[in-house]
Amino acid sequence: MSSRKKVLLKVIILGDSAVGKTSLMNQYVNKKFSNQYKATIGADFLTKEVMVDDRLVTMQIWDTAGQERFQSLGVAFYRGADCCVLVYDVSAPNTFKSLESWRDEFLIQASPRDPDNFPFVVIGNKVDLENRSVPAKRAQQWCQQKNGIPYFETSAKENVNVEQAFQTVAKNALAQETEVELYNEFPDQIKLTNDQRGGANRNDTCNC
Amino acid sequence: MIMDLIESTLIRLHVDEDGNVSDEEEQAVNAELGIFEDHFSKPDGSYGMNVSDLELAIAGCKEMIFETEERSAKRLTLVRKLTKLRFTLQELKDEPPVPPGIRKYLGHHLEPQRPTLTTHHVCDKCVGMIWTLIPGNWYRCKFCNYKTHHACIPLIQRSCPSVSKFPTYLLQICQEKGLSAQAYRCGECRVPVTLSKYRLCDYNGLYYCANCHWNNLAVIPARIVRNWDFTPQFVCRASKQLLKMLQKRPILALHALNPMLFCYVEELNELKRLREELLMMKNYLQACRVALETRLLRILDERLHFVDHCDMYSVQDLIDLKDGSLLTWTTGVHDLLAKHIKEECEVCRGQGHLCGLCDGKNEILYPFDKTSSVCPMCSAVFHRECYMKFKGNCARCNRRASRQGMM
Repeated sequence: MSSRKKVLLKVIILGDSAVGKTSLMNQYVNKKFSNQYKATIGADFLTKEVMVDDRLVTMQIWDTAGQERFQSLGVAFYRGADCCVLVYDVSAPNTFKSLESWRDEFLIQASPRDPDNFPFVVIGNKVDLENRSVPAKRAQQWCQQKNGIPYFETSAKENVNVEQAFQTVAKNALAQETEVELYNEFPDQIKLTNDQRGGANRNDTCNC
Repeated sequence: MIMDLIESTLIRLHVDEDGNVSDEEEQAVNAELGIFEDHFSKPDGSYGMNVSDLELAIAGCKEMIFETEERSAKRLTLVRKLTKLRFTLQELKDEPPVPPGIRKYLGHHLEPQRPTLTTHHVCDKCVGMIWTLIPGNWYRCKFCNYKTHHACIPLIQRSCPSVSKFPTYLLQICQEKGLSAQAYRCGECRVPVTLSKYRLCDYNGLYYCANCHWNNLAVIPARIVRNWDFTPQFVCRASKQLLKMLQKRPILALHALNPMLFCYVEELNELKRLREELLMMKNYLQACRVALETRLLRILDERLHFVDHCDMYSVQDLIDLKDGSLLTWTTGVHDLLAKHIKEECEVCRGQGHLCGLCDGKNEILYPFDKTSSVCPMCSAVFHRECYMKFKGNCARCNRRASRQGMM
């Protein structure tokens, strides 16, 4: 039944400034790469239709601003995300360190139903550069600690591994989406928490 | 060779403490060179000479330098003169070319006007009627609207208000000093005015003759800023032209000039709030692909300063505010932009905020909402109630601080 329905997958790309978020998205969606750095202001999305397990799905990929000065706008678009891509630059250790806070911040703002099992994908970008300084092992270790996040090393410039990484993103996002659908299929959920609070209030105000 | 000479002399100039050249000396040099400095045409600053005149004078000056004795006072004066002349020539060359037909005088850009049948104008210089039927008969300044006969151009005394790069208003209400302070002469043309025939300009508090003061009415900025008084007052021609030229320029920092005005004038306060919210919306529209493509911010073209800041006002703004049209217009623009951000655009909507202090997780907040508060440190947005409840303790700032501590 659900396979006939058109599926929209919402993917958020996060990471420090200049790690290549926009380049990754552009390489994946438009098959283009530019050497010029242009800071992203605010957020924007591109869409791409892909086949995942014989299903046609539309991916809505949100590219974000990494620079703090452009973060005055809100992140309401985190809400309802199906997968989050964390990007760092393999030649800049600081960008790897801040993955932790990007992940935390995402989980707090997006508040997914099941934070522990929310699908993340970590991408170490710029492997074409020679001055690599974050060992793959260290990144893999970190991913293992966080409930086995899939890890990819890519080069948006040379188009290395980009397709594979996003294929995994789509796959995991779709799995998450189906789970949500299943969850939503029950009609008339009984919201225990709300009811309890309502009851408590009633007790407070009613005299009988 | 001449350059070496100049340089050696210039070096000496720096060392020499008594290097100042007296006015008489300079005038003597001017006379020898056959040039004159027209101090009355200061705004143009061009010695009243054109390029070829200046080149001739420079060549003459060079020759004279060779003729004088080395290290003499005369040579020093001449070298100074030469550098001055060269500088003027360069300035003249750097100026944007004046379009053909336009006459430049005292900062005015006088454009020849087409003959018209119906309207007649009065010459600002001679106060005579301009017969507009005759082609090439009259000119009008494109900055200050100064109208004059062709024949009257060389006689103009009033310089164009556009000369000042950073124009400001006089913000004291009509400070009269009295006719005696002006030696009983007109404030502009210095014609003697008798006690019975003077006219007072309410803008600058000076007295004028009837030629320079036509009893024009104008709203006085000082009276608005101090008293919210929009009654038109009599002003002289020069003030009228200045006020008219500046009317649409946002040069009044109203809050700094008179903060109490915002307490007493309800609509001013309302306008301030709308403008602040427009500025917050600007952040969204500048980051939005759709808004940039459709040039949504162009609807503010009429009042571009609304896009840049929220505390500068033009006199026209205040006049329109008083008659109610500005508030209607601004509210319209405000609502249109808010509709784009909150309803029409997925990108803008995605960049709303979620209150991090309460359970109302699915309600999207915007900094320009009346019911939200913005953290001054990190620009996170919360419900005003929540923010008050937590006494301005920003959740995002706290998270950032604790992360910093952990590192």
